[in-house]
Amino acid sequence: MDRNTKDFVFSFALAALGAYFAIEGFSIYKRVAGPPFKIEKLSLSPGFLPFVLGILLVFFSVLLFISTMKGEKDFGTAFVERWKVVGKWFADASRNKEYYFTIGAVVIMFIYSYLLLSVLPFWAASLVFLVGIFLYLKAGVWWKSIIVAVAAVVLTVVIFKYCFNAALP
Amino acid sequence: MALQYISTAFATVFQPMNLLVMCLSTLAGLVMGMLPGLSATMAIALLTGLTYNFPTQTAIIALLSIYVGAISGGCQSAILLNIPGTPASAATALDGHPLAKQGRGGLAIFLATTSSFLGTFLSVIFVMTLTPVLTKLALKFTSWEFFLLSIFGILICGTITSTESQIKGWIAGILGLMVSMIGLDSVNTVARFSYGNVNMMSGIQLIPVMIGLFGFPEILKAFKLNNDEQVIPSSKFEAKEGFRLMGRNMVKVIRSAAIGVGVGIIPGVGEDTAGWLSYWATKSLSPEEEKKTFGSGNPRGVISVEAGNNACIGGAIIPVLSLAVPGSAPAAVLLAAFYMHGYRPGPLLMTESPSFLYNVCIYIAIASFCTWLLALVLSKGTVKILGIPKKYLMPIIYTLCVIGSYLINYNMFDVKVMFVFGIFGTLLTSLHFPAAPFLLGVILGPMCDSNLRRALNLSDGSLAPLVQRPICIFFLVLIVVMILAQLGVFKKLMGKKA
Amino acid sequence: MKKILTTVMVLALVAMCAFAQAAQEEVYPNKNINLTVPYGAGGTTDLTARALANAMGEKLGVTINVINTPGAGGSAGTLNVQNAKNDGYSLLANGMLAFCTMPINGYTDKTFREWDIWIATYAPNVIVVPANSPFNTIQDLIEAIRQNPGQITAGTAGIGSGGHFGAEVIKSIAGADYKHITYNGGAAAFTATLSGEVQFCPQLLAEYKDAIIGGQVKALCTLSDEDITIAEGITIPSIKDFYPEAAKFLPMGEVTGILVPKGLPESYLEKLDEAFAVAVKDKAFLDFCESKSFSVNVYDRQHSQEFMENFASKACWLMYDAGAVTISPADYGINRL
Repeated sequence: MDRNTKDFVFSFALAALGAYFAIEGFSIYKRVAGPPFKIEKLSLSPGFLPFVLGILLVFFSVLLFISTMKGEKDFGTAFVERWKVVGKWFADASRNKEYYFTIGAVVIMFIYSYLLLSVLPFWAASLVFLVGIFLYLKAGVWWKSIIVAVAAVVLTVVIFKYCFNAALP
Repeated sequence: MALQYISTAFATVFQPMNLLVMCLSTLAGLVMGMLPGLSATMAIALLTGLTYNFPTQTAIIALLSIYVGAISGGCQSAILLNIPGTPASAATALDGHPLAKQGRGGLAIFLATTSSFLGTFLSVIFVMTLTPVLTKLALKFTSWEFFLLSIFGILICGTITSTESQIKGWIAGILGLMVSMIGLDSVNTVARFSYGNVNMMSGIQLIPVMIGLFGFPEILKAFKLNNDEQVIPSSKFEAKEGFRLMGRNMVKVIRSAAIGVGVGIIPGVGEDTAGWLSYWATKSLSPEEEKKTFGSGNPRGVISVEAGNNACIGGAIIPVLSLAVPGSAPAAVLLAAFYMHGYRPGPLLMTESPSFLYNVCIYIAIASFCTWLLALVLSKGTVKILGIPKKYLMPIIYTLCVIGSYLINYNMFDVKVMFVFGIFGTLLTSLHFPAAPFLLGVILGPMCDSNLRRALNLSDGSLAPLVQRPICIFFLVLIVVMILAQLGVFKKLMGKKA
Repeated sequence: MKKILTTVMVLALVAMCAFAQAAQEEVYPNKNINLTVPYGAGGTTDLTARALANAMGEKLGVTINVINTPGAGGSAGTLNVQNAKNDGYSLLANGMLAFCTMPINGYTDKTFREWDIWIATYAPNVIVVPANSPFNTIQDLIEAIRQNPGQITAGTAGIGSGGHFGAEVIKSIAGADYKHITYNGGAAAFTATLSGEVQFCPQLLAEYKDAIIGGQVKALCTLSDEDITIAEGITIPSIKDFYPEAAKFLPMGEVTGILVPKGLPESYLEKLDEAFAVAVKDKAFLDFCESKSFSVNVYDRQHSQEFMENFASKACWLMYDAGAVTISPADYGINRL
């Protein structure tokens, strides 16, 4: 996807986000106008800045949208064309091994951050993570990976626990 | 009288025990500054407990040294890895990392470190001579001024960092502001955007956002199938070239230092904003052709940022000493430490313990020199990091990021926040949105929101004071000029294309 | 094959170590304790907490880390501790005024009765005005409030802060409302008063002592029940010298202490009792209180609940009667005295 098309799609997402924010901001204002806060004026309400920001975001995303459509003579066909390009990108991407590889690495990081660290103490979780990801990335020979992982974990634990006296998860 | 205090302070520092403590603390500060996620605030906080039982002067030396070290250390990871070690160095990465990629990382570090030293040193001179005057100036800042300052900071950042259109930078800034709205609002404690989740109610912490935003895209770059890596030649300092460049740019150093001190004095605005404002000043005031080179390895960029953010240290100490009000987050922890050691910063400081001001100034000055030496020594080693295969390095960096996020509140939620913002940061970078205004939005959001509401409350909803107060008018003019300039360019673009 | 074998071995090793750790004897405390301060660093609660933390940590043999979690009038940090795992390593330091009014402000359903509390210090409110203010006595201020209801601005550290209560006392005496301008903590309120952004500030004496002596603010009166002499020749009168009807609110001020949700094993609590008792006699702590004009007003765990019944009732009903909250304290079993 070229830059213009990326911006084109994203401007819709941004506009939607802005609209949501503005609506939510307004509803906060309404909610707070009653008891127990009784903040009547919009400008004093906690909902004020979200509301303003939401509207600003919508405004800017429209500007962004316009900038992507600069120079397009036929608005209608250009619009449809763009969406077709997006569709094609998705089709291509699902076949692209690179993306899957990166996504796989991210999944490993996710497992580490959310799952491993909740069940194992820090040094164990990190050890498992590091060994796992080194192997996945084919960073080097398997025994090298393990040594580096162990060294890194040991060094980290020593520096933090003993030098800085900071508790690790 | 003052001379006597100054010489006593010198004598104290050069006692062997204190010198040793200074070197160790500076080293610790540098390391903590370098590690993404460990900020200066955290460094001082961790050390406060450790030094509680030290003799008073030694403890003060230790704390000030770690502060200076941490703010200076952030530049190394920003330059080498494009991951700022502390929020203060986010702007250093803009020109620092391209320099590193060109094989001139050593030069960049040399410039950054020397500018840091000079910035701190100059700010100390400001503290020693101008504290009463500057304090009066700081007190002129009320809610309206704070609000405009936060808007101004974000606008600037958006303008500087967008390579194509400023719209993207400003959108990033707005998104950052929106993120800062999550949580209990600070004036009425109304829950906003927290969906009933207790962790969300305490808001999104800054450091996990910074690590995720800047760190993730860099880390993910390493995760590619192929094994070919551009090996970046590890570089020397090019000290001669470095000194030459520093000499040529002394004016910019002094200007950035002045800006840094100014930003530091204002309670609540810290080193990160100082860096950005200094960068913006240098960029805007440079000749037209040069403006385009900022962001792709202009040494002046690195010099201004580091001089500015380090000068902020002195600036932040001023309100601590004269008003007992911290000028930045690390200064707040420093203030607590001062109290604990029996000092009474504030209006009575000069009458009760007049030597304290001079002590602090001399300690900071010498600590900055110490930082300069140690940083240069350290960087001989850290530059080699560029040579480590990214596939080993990045996962290890990720574990450090996890630690950094966790240590803020000892809460695993922050680690998850970091991950989420990491994904978001990758998205932003791939869409060519600058991440820095987003970060600044998160930093300045609470200040922006609470000051705006407070100001409107004071004026009963009217915006009149905006155009009546002198400092406000100053800011407004700057903001309007900046926006017009950008839109003017924008209009020209539209005109040309059509 | 080799890879799989290695991975399995590593995992087994890791699992063994994890089990070994868990099987260790639990002696309290065996790691660092986190003390959450729900305000910014450098404020009154923060400094008191740090002084206590140092002394208690020494007795317990571990480091007590102070974590600042400001926001929402002190409720962000408090809720953090309330919702965290109650394993004895997560304590709270808070001012009791803000703390005991959390239920009627709608932040939580739990009252002080569900916490174990150790009370350390008392810091009275003081009414100060900027140095160039037209008000020179407390009567000037109260008259001005009566003549301009809802106009005179008061700066405080937030809803439920010590300053808010001080302002409510003034409101009761004046019979007319003030305009409440909230700041993120005592330090911000302090700079606002110095810069003249607000017309008066009913915050705590501890924060303003030096500024009063230095002449940057004028102290009109204090809400302690006696006159207070803070320095040679500088005595701040108690408000009851001018308005005897104020006596029923006095002494008003912030009471600070350490808290932990109920439910810890008795052995842990006894350790904390011991550490606290030692801390409040610690010289550094006492010097610190002296310099800030805090009174050391100790209630240990057994006696604090009684104190809180009285204190919470006074504080909550003051807020309710003033119309600052709409939830009645009676809903939480806090009855008028």
